[in-house]
Parts: sequence; structure tokens; C-alpha cells
Amino acid sequence: MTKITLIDYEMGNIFNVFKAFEMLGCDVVLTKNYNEILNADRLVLPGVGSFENGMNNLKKYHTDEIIKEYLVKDRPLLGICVGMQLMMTRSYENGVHNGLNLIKGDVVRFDHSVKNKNIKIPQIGWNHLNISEKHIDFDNKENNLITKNLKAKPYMYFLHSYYVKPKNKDISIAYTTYGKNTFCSIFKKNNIIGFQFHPERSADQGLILLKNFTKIKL
Amino acid sequence: MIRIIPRLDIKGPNIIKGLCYDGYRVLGKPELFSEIYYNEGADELFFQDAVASLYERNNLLDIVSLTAGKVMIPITVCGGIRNIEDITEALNAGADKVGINSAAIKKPDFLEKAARKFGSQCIVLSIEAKKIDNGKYEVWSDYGREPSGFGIKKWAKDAENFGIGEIYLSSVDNDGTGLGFDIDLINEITSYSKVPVIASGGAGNYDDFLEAINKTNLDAISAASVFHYNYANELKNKITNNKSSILRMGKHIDTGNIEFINEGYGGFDNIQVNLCSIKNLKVFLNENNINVRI
Repeated sequence: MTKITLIDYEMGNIFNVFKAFEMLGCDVVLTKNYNEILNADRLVLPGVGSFENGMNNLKKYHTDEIIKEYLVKDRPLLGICVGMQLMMTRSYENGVHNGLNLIKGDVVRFDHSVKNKNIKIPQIGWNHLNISEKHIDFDNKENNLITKNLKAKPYMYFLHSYYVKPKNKDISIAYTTYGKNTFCSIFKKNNIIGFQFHPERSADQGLILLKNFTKIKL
Repeated sequence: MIRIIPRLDIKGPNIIKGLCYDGYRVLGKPELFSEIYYNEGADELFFQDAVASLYERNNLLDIVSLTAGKVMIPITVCGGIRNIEDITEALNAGADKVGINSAAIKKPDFLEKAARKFGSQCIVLSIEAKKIDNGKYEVWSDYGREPSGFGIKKWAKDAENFGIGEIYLSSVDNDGTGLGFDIDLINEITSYSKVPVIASGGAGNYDDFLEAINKTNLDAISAASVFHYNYANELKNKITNNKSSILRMGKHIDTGNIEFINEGYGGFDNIQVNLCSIKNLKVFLNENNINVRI
């Protein structure tokens, strides 16, 4: 049975991520215990709430250090929404706050300037993933591909005001456009993966992504 | 991209549906309806606890957990959210967003605290709007029972400044009537709002949805009767004696506080609602050049 370890850092709404992996037949553990996180096969950093709260909570339990120790062996780590944002160097949400710095780059707010005045912030609702050509698996052969088996331009559910800007554009494997902003909605650097949307709330297409995560070879 | 959001008013273990936030008939189990709505392509679900504010209790969370584990779309829980602990409990039960009305009217800074702790994207301001004598709209609370004295426009603006992420706007006057959406009401909020607005109250047929989408700047649209009565028939819950398009006729086997159906309510003695399927609604909107998720 595939084991999924969810990091408990008291950032709300773990229930649905937990249930989604259970639905996929995984053995799911929610924990803040040092050994359980360090010995995980697949680690997930979910998150709803503000960047600052998230980072403070990670530090409170020294989870930020444990995650880095876990990553030494190149095992899979998935960040969802704020969990993805926390992996970045820094965020400009309510001031400037340092993140885990696993991925170089910033977290910034949707542009609400004149050229973009018609967009509503937060973005709440369904939007397309535009998957970079080189990451579309036309033959469905590559087992390690996180975007395997998805429809073309699948809809995912977004719920956010901020998005990530990785410095290395090669790691962005899907983009999404909201108003005049086109932003990175999935990144993957080795086995570090981030989703800006909520796969656990994105119907069948979201479940496919989570399933692909459980299939990454260890 | 317009979202279609079935609204489930819940009392005890049941979905209910009333008229102008009054009276109700019992329609069936929310978890069954939720699964159907998910499979039919609903974009989100909106759960409204119909009694929480009145009796200071919240029995909705068990139903939320039961549903959220099976239904992979977002759920907003509204009704009985009075403090930070209530929000935490709702999120832990599987809610993705919470709707706040009465508690914010009593203490507006609650919205600010909630948005700071959980993020704006999680906090929905629920507005129950009622038209008053001068043609203006007033904010009501406690499931359409208590006037607040607030005008809706200023209230919505204040709430946006407090950091709410979305507005769920319902018309108390049109609720359950099938007369169509209150376009003036929706425009009063969507003409300036910087956060997404979900409009609710009055859908009676497919064209009502299209009209509201075309004549206002709404982001999502919510309805109850048109969907519930359709799928209640499919579930073989014989709650409607449905001939032609009129729901209330002759003898019925309803349960609930259904005097409004038997004796008429505020001039209504029948309810004109065409049964709508979510799938067909989306096809219809798509054919009319509205961007929906199909």
C-alpha cells in the first residue's frame, strides 16, 4: 500500500487532502512527528491560510528543518496552494517573509493595476492548466510524469490571491492565465512538486494528478 | 468562467426548501443530492444551515464530513459561524470556505480577524438582502428574520475592506419563488465589487440564469428549487405532484412546515419553476456563449 505522509502544521483544511489520498487507496498519516516525517516515502505539505502563519507554524515545530533533511535523499515532496508557496525563497504577502527556499523565486500578488482592473481578487473558481509541450506525454509511457493521463487543458479549482514566480523557468511545467497574469500553476524540480490549485477539490482531473504523485518511482 | 453552485438549505438531517426564507418542505438527504450534483458537473456546493443562528447550534458538520469525503468539489458552509473556533471546526470537517452573516453584523471586526487567520479566499460574506419600502435593499440576518438597518452597498464595501474574499448575495424576496433573479440587486453589488460575487434567489428556468449572467457582472450563480425538484423526482422522492411547470397542486405527500404551500404565502399560491438539470443548464449556457466548465 502506498504510504502518504501529510505534514500537520495546523493550517486548516487537511481533511480533504487526506480523504482524496484515501480514496486512491493510500495509507495516509497526518503528523508533526520528527521521525515520521523523516522516514516518509512521500511527503505532502498542504495549506490554507496566510504565508506568514504557515511559515511561523513550520518553524514552531522545526518542520522546516525536517523537510530539508527529508529531501537529502531526493524523495517526493508535494506542496499544495500555500504549501507550494512556502517552498519559495520569499513572499510579499502582508510584508516580506522568507520561505523554505527550496525553489528560488518570489510569491507575489495578482496585478490589480489599470491594465488588469477587471479581474477579481482572489481568483476563485475553475481555470485551465496549459501544460508545456515537453511535459505532455503523448505516448503515456513515461511513468514519472506528473501530468500523465490528463485531458488537454484540464480545469482545476483555484482559490488564491498570490502566485509563485520561479527564477528557473524550466521547472514550470504548467501555466495558467488569469486576467492579464500568466503564472506558474505546477512546478517540478527533481522530486519537489508544487500545485497552486487544489487537486483534492478539482474533481476527476485533480484526482489523476494526485494519483500520478503516488506513482512516482522511489 | 461562470460557476454553477447548487444551494442546499439544511435543517437537521434534511434538505429543505422554503419560500422567501419562510416555511419549508422536506426534500431528502443532502448527502444524496450532493453526490448527484457533483456527478452532474456542479462547480461547488453551498450548504446553508437553516437553523444554526436561531438555536445556536450547528449540526451541519457531520453532513459536511460525510459529503466532503465523496464529493471532490469545494463546499462552502454558511450558518452558525460565530467565532474563530467555528471556522476551524468547519474547515476540519471538510469545508473549503465559510459564509458569515449574522455574526459579522453583530461584530464586523470578526470578518477582519477571520480573514487574517484563514486568508481572504476562505471567508465569504453572506448577504441576505430584502427590498424595503423606498426601493433600497437592507441587510437581514438570522436566515431572513432580522433586519440589521444596514444598506447592502455600504455593508459589502466595509466587508471588502475587512478582507473578505467573496460575496454570496441572496434575495430574500425572490427566494423559492421562481420569478427570476433580482437583477437590480445583483448590479448594486457587482457594479463595483472587487471580489467575486455569487448571486442567488429566484431561478425559475434556464433563461433566468442567462439573463442574470448577461445583465450583471456576477462570477457565480446559485440556485436551489430548480435543481432540487428535478433531482428529487429522479430520486423518486415524490414531493411534487409535477404537472406542467407548476410545483404545488392538489394533494401532496410533503412533510415540513408546508402551510405556505397549502394556503399560499404573501400572494403566492403556486410556484412557477421549470425543473433544470445542471448538465443541461451548462450546455444551454455554453450554446449562448457563456464560459462554463463542461
